[in-house]
Amino acid sequence: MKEVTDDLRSDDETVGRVIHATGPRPPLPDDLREAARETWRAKLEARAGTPRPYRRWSPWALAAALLLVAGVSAFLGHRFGPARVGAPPVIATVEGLFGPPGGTLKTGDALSAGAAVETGPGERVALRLAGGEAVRLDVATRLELESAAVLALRRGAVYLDSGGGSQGLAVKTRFGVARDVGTQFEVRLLDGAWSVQVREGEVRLELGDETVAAPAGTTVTARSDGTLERAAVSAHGAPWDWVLRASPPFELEGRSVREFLAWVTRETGWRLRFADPELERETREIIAHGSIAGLTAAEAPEVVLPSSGLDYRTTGGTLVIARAGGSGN
Amino acid sequence: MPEDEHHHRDQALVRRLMDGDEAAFEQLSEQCLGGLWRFALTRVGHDEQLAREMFQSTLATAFETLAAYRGESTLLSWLCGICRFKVGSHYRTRRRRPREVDLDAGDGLEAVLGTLTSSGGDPEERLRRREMTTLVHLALDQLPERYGRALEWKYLEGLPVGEIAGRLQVGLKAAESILSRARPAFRAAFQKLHRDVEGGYRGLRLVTERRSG
Repeated sequence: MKEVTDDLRSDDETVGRVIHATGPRPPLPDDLREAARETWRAKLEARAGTPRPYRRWSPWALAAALLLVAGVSAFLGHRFGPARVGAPPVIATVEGLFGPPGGTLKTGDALSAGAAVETGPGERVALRLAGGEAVRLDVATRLELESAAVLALRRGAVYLDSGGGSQGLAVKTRFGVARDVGTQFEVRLLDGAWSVQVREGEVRLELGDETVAAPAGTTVTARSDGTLERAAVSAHGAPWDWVLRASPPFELEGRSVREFLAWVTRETGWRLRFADPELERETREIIAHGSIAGLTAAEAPEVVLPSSGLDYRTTGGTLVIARAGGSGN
Repeated sequence: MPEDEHHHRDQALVRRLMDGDEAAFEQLSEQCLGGLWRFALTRVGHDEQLAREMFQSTLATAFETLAAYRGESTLLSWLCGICRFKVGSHYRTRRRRPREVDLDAGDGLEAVLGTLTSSGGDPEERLRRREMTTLVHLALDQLPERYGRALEWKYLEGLPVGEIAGRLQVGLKAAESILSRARPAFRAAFQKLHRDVEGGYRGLRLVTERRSG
């Protein structure tokens, strides 16, 4: 016991001597502090000077006025204080905004039942539903959030990723309903038709009394005249490019390379293969630091993997991970 | 203050910054900007001009993307993450790296103390001393604010615990407890930084570490 006490005392002393030997921390130069303040003000002004809101909040149904008031209450609650008691529950949050700056939505905003989100040309939005499902809105889209389980697509296209844990999320359109069965899929409104493009799992299209299954790798187009068309679609590449561009940034700091790879494959549709099975275990132990903000899931491996001592290639929709230069690092 | 509370406090600070609260900027300046500056200096091998560039570029990005801060790390760690990325990008673009300094004194504080108190005058030795000094400062920056301050008051200013308690506005026992938690926290922060900075000097855009155990 005495030895432990002595060790602790010695430990305390060493810390003290090290701190003493280095002297006080050098302060931030005043001119840099002022430059930082100017940068902050300029960014604030740039945000405040937004020309027009392009993502609008609006009612969607008969009870529009009431819902709007309630929805706005929740929205204001988020921005300026706690949500009011009795406000509709938050069913989604905004995870990312892509395109020219502006609009009333901000990343982190909470959306209540009855809210509608619109995107204009060149604008995309990423949402996260309360159940954990990812939702992406393509350009020129209007999506109404009826509840955490029912979304109404009025125009444009929406992508859903229920992460394999489907609660039967439904996307309503004027032509029918697409209901997910643990999947990743896109619903798109076309002229006189709608299409459901399935990347993973299965989607059920409810067309009046009829239900049609759309498995992974197919696109089903249902026309207003009742005809159906089926086509094959790849799980990766051009059909899903817009989804990649509407993907919220992955927060890399402190995450393992294996987690990073899981995100990349989920977003790109690539399959993952390790050149050496041992590498999979190793990637769980390599922790990355830094930020990949601004890079899509398809671009990020180029930055992250070499710095982790790894090499990679993509072949026929498969991301193959190998050791850099054949070394053990 | 538990770690979660620091994160909540930082999230609140970010919200105030987004609302244009001038007092929030003062708090940011007090709480984070000095640490970010010292971090930038370390990352670029004490090239002051480049450190200024990286510091400003980091803040330009950070102020633009404040809404992306989710409080999963402290605000200073988040800023340092952006800075690390900027510095990595800088060297990657220019295909050059800062001068590498062999910090082979090890990450044990006893060995570090030897380096800090040595009187060796050759340039390499002086450079190593400077790096070690900066790492010690960075480790203090990484600690909860009152841990860092309490350690400085005790070991730099030589204040008695009673006076430290007064400055922290806590009782004597609480001040002793803060100091006794601050010392191992400092040691751990220093060792982590030591490994991290060594990795960073390899000129990587991103620094990776291997999870121990």
